[in-house]
Amino acid sequence: MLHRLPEFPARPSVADTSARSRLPRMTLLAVGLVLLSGCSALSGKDPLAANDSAGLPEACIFPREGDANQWLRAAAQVVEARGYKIREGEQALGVVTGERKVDQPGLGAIDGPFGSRIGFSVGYGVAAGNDFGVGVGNDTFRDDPISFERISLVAPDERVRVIRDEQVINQGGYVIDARPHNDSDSCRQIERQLQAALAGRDPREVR
Amino acid sequence: MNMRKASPRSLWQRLGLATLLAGLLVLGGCMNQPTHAPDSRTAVIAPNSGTLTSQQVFVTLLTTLAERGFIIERADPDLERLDASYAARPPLALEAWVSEVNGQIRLSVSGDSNGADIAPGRLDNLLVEVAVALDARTVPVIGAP
Repeated sequence: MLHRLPEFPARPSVADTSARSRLPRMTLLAVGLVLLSGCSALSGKDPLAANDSAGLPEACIFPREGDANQWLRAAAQVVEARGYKIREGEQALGVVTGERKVDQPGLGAIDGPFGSRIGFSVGYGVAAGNDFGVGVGNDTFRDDPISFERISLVAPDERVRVIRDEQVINQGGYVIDARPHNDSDSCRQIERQLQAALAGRDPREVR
Repeated sequence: MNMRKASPRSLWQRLGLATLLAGLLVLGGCMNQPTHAPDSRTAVIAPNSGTLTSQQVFVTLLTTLAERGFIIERADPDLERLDASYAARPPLALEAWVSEVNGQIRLSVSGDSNGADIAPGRLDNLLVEVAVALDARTVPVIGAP
């Protein structure tokens, strides 16, 4: 009997170790899955989805004032007043599209994978004697990205749609960020600016 | 005896070969980037009642894209063609045009997402939304994607 006693805890302990060895593996798997799925859930809405949940906020669609010709001139004025260059204008369809480039000073300084763009290099060379050198490089101030912003005002019928987007591009041409930029506040401001331009006032005065 | 002498050399050879192969694979990876044809969809927009003009279809296409958040890069009412794009990563660029063939109004959309596939259903969603807004239905065109 006494000899047998130690055997009882021995069995569960075998099961225990296998369970314990499975635990880190499961954790690893879970962490791996989280890493692989990454930010897929955080990606933007699909503009081609079946239901147009990705569409414009309500404030970005408002009634058009004035006739088509008056409106188009007012729209062009507003787009220019906001600092965009007009790239497309079509009277029959009531489309005005503009784009602008805005420097993002300082953004380049924090964009690097290590927080800043200050780099070290350490070299050891052997060539007719030994030498040792340390180099410190800094490209913080050459690397500010540019924000490339576009706007479309579309009013082929009695309603105006305001569409805006933004792409942040670094000096190497790499697109750091690209997303629609349709916030209700600017749409309301654009609506007020259109009203001002139609009334013959300068849209720049509207805040 | 001979075999034992040869085996260390063949190990090095094998290692060299493996390195070469790996190198070729790495280099080949750059070469094999597929040139992806843009996905496109065409459908006849058939009215449920009455008649429909191609201009109505074109204007509805324009407003549908605008309300989905697309920037209208170019819109030509005479050619009934438009280019629109959506800022995202990867970006989504659409070309759409309306044509009249044998009295039927066809709406075509072609999309490019930096070479990535656009699932066929996603472009269909757009065609269907345009048709529904006009109280019409989409009829597939035989021989067109």
